[in-house]
Amino acid sequence: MERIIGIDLGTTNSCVAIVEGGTPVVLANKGGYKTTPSVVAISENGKRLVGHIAKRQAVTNAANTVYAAKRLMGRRWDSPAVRTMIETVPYTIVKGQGDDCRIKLRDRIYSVPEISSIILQEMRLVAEEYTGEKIEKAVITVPAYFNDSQRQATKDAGRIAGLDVVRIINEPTAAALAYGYGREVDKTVAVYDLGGGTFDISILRIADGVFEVLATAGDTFLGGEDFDGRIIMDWLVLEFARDNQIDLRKDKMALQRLRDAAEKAKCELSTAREAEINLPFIISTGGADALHLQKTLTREKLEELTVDLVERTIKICKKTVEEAGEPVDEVLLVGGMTRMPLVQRRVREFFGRQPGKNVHPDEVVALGAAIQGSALMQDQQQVLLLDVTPMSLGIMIVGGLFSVLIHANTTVPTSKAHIFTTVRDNQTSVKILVLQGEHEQASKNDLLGEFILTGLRAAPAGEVEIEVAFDINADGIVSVSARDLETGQEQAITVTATSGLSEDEIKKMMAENQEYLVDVRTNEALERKRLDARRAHSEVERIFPRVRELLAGSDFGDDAIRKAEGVLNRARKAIDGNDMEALQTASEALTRTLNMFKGVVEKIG
Amino acid sequence: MSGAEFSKLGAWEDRPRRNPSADLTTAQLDSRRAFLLTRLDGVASISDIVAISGMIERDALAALSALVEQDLVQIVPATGRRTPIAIEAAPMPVAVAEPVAPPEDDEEEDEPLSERPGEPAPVMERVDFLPDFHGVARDDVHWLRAKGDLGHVPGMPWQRLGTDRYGKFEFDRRALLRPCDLTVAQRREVLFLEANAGQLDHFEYFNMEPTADRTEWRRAYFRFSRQFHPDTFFRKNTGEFGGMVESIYRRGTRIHDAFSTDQELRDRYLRAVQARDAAYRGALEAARERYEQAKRDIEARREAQRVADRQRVAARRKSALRERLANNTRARREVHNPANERVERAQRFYEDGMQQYRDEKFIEAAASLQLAMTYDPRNEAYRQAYEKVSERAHAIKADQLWKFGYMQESVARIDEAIDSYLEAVKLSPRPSYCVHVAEMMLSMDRDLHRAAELARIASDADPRNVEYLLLLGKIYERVGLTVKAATVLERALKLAPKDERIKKAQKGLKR
Ligand SMILES: Nc1ncnc2c1ncn2[C@@H]1O[C@H](COP(=O)(O)OP(=O)(O)OP(=O)(O)O)[C@@H](O)[C@H]1O
Ligand SMILES: [Mg+2]
Repeated sequence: MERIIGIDLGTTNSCVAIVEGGTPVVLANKGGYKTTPSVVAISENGKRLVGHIAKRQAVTNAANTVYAAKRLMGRRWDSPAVRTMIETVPYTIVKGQGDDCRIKLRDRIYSVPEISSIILQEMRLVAEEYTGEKIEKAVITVPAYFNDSQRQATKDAGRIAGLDVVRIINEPTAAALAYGYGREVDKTVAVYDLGGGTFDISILRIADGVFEVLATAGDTFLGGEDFDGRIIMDWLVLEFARDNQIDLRKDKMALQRLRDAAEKAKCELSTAREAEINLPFIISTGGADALHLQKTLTREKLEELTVDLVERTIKICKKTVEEAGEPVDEVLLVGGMTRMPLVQRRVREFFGRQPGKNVHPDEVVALGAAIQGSALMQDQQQVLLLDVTPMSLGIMIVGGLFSVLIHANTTVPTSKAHIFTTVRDNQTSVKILVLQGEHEQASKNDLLGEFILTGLRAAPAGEVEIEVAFDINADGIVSVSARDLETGQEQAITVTATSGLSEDEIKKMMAENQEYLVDVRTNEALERKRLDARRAHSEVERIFPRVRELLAGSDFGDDAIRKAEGVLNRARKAIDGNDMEALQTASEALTRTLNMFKGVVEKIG
Repeated sequence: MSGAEFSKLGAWEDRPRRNPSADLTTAQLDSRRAFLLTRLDGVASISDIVAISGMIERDALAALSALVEQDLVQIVPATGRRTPIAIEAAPMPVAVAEPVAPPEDDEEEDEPLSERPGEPAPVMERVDFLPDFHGVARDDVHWLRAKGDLGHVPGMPWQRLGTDRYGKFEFDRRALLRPCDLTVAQRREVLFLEANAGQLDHFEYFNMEPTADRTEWRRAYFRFSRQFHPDTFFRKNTGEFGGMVESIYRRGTRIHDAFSTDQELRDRYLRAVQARDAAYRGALEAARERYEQAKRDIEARREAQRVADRQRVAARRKSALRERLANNTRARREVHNPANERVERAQRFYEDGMQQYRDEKFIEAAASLQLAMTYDPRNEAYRQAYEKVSERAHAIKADQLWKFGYMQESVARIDEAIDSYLEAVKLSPRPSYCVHVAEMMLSMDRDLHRAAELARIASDADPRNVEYLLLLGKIYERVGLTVKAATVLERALKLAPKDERIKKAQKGLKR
């Protein structure tokens, strides 16, 4: 049976899982880690670096190292989130053609889905390594509070990575799925997910293997990155400026070092009461001497810096619990940030209960994605997910107001139609602006797309009726159609506009990626061969002196020794080069020589 | 009771006629019998006579029967068809109807009434349409209507007559066979829901009982979701069912979402469905009630029809007979005037009677006077004379009979003797006669009830006679009326406390 992997494409860390023999397992990468940093870099010689390697070289290559790309997913160039990002990240964000934002690394401009696709690719390779099979299908998770553009962008990222994204599911839902999978649960469960970039809260009713999302909400720009930001901007940078009158923000490398240090300190403070931040030579003052940064961060100080962020999550929880209208039986904590004692305390206080301990905050989301993937493949599904749309969906109407057609927390898939009329006399076309959000002012919501319905009959205002129909499919992806009820003329879009990528672009990227993948794969084979050859080479070298000793003097011996020296020389050249064939020949020759040597030693020595 | 009662009469077609040798003068005749006697012409059948008598059938037959018993009338059996006389056990009081003109076309007389073409049997009316929101409170109707199809309550429950979920829904056979991965059960449910969404309330849509219980509701919705959620059909070929499955699931989730967020909708909807169901049951009940009533009405009309038929037939016969009799009379009247003849004959009998009376031939006198009375019943003088004479005549006759009986007894022809004595006491119940015959019957063990009756007559006439009481007691004892016997003996003992016979009798009684 075809395998479907589950990928948790996180802001900070990504994770891949698969269901094997009915049990979901998280797969470790080559380095033995179960999560892979969502970091992508381009090295000086133009090589793609992903995960731990990319993270390790970030300090020295800050401008060409992308982290937290997920925060840019599906966002418009002029959105406040992008503004903030431009100010705080060391890499360069530029404006794309479709009003989206793109990332400039070395001499190339990448779309955000492309960056994400590089991470997805990596996760796919991890899974292929583990299973020894080619993986083509995946369930990818997104924050529950992602809007349609962000979901679309994620789907595109999957496609660029050559994956058939069979389903996009929400991270907290996936977590609940992993929690309730394979056991009898009849409970109302709240999933509090605070990760590196986003916050989600979902309340689910679980019974008979059905997972019904009652309510969900969140903030797609609230996560560990913001906690780190507080430490850096509101404390380290401020203090340093006060002491040295130098703005560290100007120096990309310094900023990257601060970032690493801040995160490290934050994590330490989850167990320790204080953490040392020690950054020698943080910045040079122009002359020969450099300045050092040495600080001690206490847990109290950290909490003081970030308490409002935590309160924001609690406020959202409150609204969501009300919306769900059902008492919560169990609270699950998901995401690395929930290790922070302040978060745990506030969650415990708010829900009035100790959060459940039986889920792994970093792995549970990927596990849930894998479970959903395998469930979809089964004939008789063990689990069934009934998810909702997190945000209200509607169009802009006269006066710049937002007319909601599908309310937040409506179970998907769903569809809804509504009839609107023209507002001006002899109006022959209408512009339909599709929006998502909760604000009554249309402009304060996310614009998903727009289209124009033309050819309306010229008539007094209010006489021509237009039916606008919304549809959200099981992935939570929206399509909209408008129909002139008089002529039956119809215009429809699947709202893709702000994912920023045209179909052609995606196709091109897919092809490029395919090439890269071939590259990576041949490279790997080459390296393996090189390794073999090197091993054989050193083995031959190791026993050469003894063989020389034994054979020296005879004609035959001298000849053999000369030949062996030739083999070693050629092998050395092949090992240094990049010629697969030469390596292959060298390897074979080395093996033959080695066998011969071994025979000599056995017979004579 | 059967026709055995009137077995002496034979069949309806038989003709009664007067016994030419009967002694009418001594016959005991009440008005009915006397009247019937005058109706007999030897031609009319029993059924005709009954029909023209104007009496209740049963009474007429009883009177005729008595006349036969008295040997005043003889029955001449009809030749040909004879219908035994049998009348119903609980006779309907058939009112004497106005003569009804017989129908123009002469119907077959013996056409069985029960097979007349009647009105068709009533059909239970089917309650298969009630308007939407039937039986729902006004307030709820307004509120729910405003909710569009989310508040829609069909006029009646889908599952009507204890059928299965799909009831009479006709599945498109071809659709059930279309190639796809759905099971037949799934296809049925899909086709059913798709076609009938508008006729199902939300509970029926989810295949559940109406309830306020949220857990129940959720369970049903989960069951529904497992059936219709797109994931269930992931990678399955849903063929032409795909679109339907989608739209069904969307409708279901819309209902569920509305129900789980809108408490008022849930409450009102449940109330409305319950009210609707109650109203529907009421409508069914009313239909059944109307059906039963119609059945009763038809039965009543049929019964009336039967009665009317019977009366019409009777009336027709009656008028036919009347006509025939009228013809007879007319023929006779052409010879002489019967009324005058009667008066004359009455007068003659009266004169004979009075002469016989003067000659002290009392019995003959009574017979003559009775005939005079029969011919001219309205003549008061005849009646008075008859009454005066008949008393004497009875006494004399009784004496004659007594003497005759005594003669018989003396030659030990006991039965003849008793018969004669009984005749005598019937005419003149003198205590001494009564006691004599009663004693004799007791000792001979003949008709003891009659004996007791006679002893009582005697005792009533002379209550202080110990002998009479003693006899009465003995008879009672013999027939087993021990309580009565005891009372009688008690009375006797009071009158004659020392009488050993009484005490002995009492002792015997106690044993
Ligand atoms: N022990 C710890 N104490 C405090 N914070 C921690 C700890 N461990 C990890 N974190 C923080 O958790 C965040 C990463 O969490 P996680 O890996 O769940 O996020 P993610 O899944 O990548 O992001 P998202 O789900 O928002 O897309 C980082 O900001 C990291 O600093
Ligand atoms: Mg996460």
